[in-house]
Amino acid sequence: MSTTSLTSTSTLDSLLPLPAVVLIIGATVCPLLGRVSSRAPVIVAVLACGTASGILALFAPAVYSGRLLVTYLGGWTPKDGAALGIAFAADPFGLSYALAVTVVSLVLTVFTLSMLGGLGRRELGGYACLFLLLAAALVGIALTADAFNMFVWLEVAALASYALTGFFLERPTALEAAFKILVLTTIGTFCVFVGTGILYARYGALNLGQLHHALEPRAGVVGLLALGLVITGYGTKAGLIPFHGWLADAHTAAPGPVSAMFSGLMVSLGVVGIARFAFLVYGRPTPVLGVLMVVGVVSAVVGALLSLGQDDLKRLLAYDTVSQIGVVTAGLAIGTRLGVAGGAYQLLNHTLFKTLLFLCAGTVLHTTGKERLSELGGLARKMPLVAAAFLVGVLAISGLPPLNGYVSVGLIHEGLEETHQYVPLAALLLSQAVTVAALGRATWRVFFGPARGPAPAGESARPGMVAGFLALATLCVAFGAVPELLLDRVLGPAADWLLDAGDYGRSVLAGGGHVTLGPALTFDYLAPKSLLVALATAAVGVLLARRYAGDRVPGGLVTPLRRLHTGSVNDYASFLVAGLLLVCGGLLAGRLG
Amino acid sequence: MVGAVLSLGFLAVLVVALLGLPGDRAPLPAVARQALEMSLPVWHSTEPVNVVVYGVRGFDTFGETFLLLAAVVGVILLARTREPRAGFVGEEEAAGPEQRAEDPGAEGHQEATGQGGEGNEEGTARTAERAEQTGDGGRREAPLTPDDEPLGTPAPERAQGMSVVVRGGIRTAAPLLAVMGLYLVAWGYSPGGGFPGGAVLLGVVLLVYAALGYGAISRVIRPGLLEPLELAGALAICALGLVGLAVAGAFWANWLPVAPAQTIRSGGIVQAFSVAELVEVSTGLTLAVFGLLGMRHDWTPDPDDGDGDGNGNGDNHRGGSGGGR
Repeated sequence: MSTTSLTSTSTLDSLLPLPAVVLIIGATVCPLLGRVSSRAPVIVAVLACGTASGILALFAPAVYSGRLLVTYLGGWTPKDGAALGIAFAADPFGLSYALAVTVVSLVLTVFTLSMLGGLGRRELGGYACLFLLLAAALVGIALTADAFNMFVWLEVAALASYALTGFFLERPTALEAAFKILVLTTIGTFCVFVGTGILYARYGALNLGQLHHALEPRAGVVGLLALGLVITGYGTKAGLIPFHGWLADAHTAAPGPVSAMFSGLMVSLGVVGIARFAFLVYGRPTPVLGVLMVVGVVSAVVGALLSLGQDDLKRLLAYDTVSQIGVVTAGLAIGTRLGVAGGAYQLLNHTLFKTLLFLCAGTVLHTTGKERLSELGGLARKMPLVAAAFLVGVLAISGLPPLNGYVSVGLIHEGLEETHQYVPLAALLLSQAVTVAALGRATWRVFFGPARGPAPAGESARPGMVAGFLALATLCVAFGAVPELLLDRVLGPAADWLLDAGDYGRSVLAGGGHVTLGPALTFDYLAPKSLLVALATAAVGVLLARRYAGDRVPGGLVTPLRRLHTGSVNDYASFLVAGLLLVCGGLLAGRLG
Repeated sequence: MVGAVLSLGFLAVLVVALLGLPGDRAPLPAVARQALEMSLPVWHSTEPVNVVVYGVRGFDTFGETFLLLAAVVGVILLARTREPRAGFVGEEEAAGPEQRAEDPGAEGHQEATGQGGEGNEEGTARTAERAEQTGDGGRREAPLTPDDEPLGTPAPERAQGMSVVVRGGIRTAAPLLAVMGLYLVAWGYSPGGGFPGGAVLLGVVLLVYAALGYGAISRVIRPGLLEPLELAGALAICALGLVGLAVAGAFWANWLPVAPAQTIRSGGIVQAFSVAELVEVSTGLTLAVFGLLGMRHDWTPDPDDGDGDGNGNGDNHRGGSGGGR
């Protein structure tokens, strides 16, 4: 390697914190501009997201060819393997997430400009500021390689999300939801803080690479309890069951683009946190994978069942998020190259299709003032474009062939089969069918079924909103059409880094490094088995959806599950603590066994 | 019962983890030793905590700064009053039925109690609040500053009236405290710096407010002044980091000359960061506190506003305030 290319990569390294900083500068300007005009802050938000995506794209070629870009903030590099300074490191998994955050935020801010541009000046200034701070926090957590810095960004994301949840103050549900997300996220971040503090006190390290070396060869009881606390904290942000109490309320009350941001991007932050600690710091010992598999599968099934029973469109989508994040977690918990790549793929796909669906739901609410399945109907004629976009999203989630969900869900199923985990496989197939049923029911009742009640007031979608739908729907198709390219260039390398904790740790401390890329991952697009499974689960789902297409409410298993969700924040906090105890118990039991 | 079990379980997890930690006589971790060793030779600072917080790990504090910004903007956003909006807003429309579901008595009360409003406490409270907002409440004869108030008047006690002892005491203490806050920033007794300094300044403002009333601080405590100041502080912090990236090749690198130890400029960007942080934190905290103090939180649609687009539902879901008029 020549010296010129060395210097050029080292300047590239030093740009790593810049995307987050650009978003933050945009956020700082927004409240000031809010004093001048109502659209100016949102335009600044669009520009900031665009600039940040551009800078992140500069890192892509190097990172996706297997290189780890590392920089130490302020140039305080480690001495004798001990790092006091904060490291930023771009691995393919983190970079893909960061890119997803900035690109989708760009779409969301354009959408906001078009949909909410008529709101008041000061409120849009605050809105744009918090939106950008949230995006900056997500980019920061994706790229940092320091446990305490992760906590800082987690907190920024948490604080930005509270007021965004309560944005529409005229809705009594908004303040209530803001209170719930405040209480539960605070407990979650407390767990992360205590977990990180324990790790520092016991192992004397905050840098992820240094922590990994300190924890080798085997984490003790204290280490596992710290991991339990950290998984609980990030699991709360991820909305995994039983940490999910805040999720449905917050998603329902927030403005459309914000619920899209919450569901598509903010929730994934929890998965990124869990993946960083379970894989890169602890080197995925078996008990961790077991616990994550249980949590993931339970979330997938219960989330789907809860979603089937909802009457509120956004609430239905919110519980489906619980289910999808469960699928992602289960995929990662397989722990093989195929499974991890599938989980990461599903994470990106979930960002695309769930953002699309929430934007559609937000549009329906914003233009009709209604969001209940029992009050809506026949909207396909009034807003054909929204209906088409919603349908694309639903087909993608259902895992039907030309769309992206087909590939990622197929990979996860293959990974489970490969490792002979048939019980989780059966559970995921069940959750997939129920998901199809829940979303199919929603699609039918909102867009295609008979119209109910008087024709709603309101207006149709505006150009920026249409652009958002088009961009996301196109990405959904694209991510399904070129699986080989994505697996080879993006998700294969992502899995390679996540599975090679030793190499990651060494490279972070050394200020950069390479990983040897494994053989190309393949997905047999036209394999009869995966096609058959996809079509069969979809068919079962459609049959189930037909059953509930009328006014019949799903009973059976769904009723007791719904009864557990009392809406009381005390109960949700109890679920969270019970989850913490179960996770810690599972980790310790796995260590003994 | 379940709650007790869960709490004890949580406690057990924390206690087990705590017992597994090294005791206070254990050797310091290498990272902490590094911080102590580099403080004086590299930064010329006798305050290692400051060096870690604003120097070596300054990027964490950079994040915390914007955590504070998120909190302040969040408070202001949640404490805001209505603003005129253009176009159809479906969320507003959806709010009507939600508020009715939340407060089903409101409609019935309006009809049942008629003009009396006796049994409708919320309604009367709301009316009183509206009266206060529009300024026809009765506090016109209150003097401008409490110093103009004659001593020992047997009148009903006013909220502003503090005794001369309190006023004199705070007049003495406030400047001292303000100087102390600035000292924390300038000389940084560990843990010093902009964050604690800013909190002390907020304390000064609140003391003056409590003793001398809003009149004494109204010229300074204006959002029109504080908000630009706060954001200027935040932008200055970003600029400090970016100059480091441009000049020294790494974001948050030290690019200012390091003066000899125990002078006001020893510590390079540590001091500059501290000052910018002071501006940001003191103004931000003040904005947040006064945002909460001045919060008038009634988002029930007001009939007098005739809020443009809400004609579909604006007639029936407001509280019983109509009864009082």
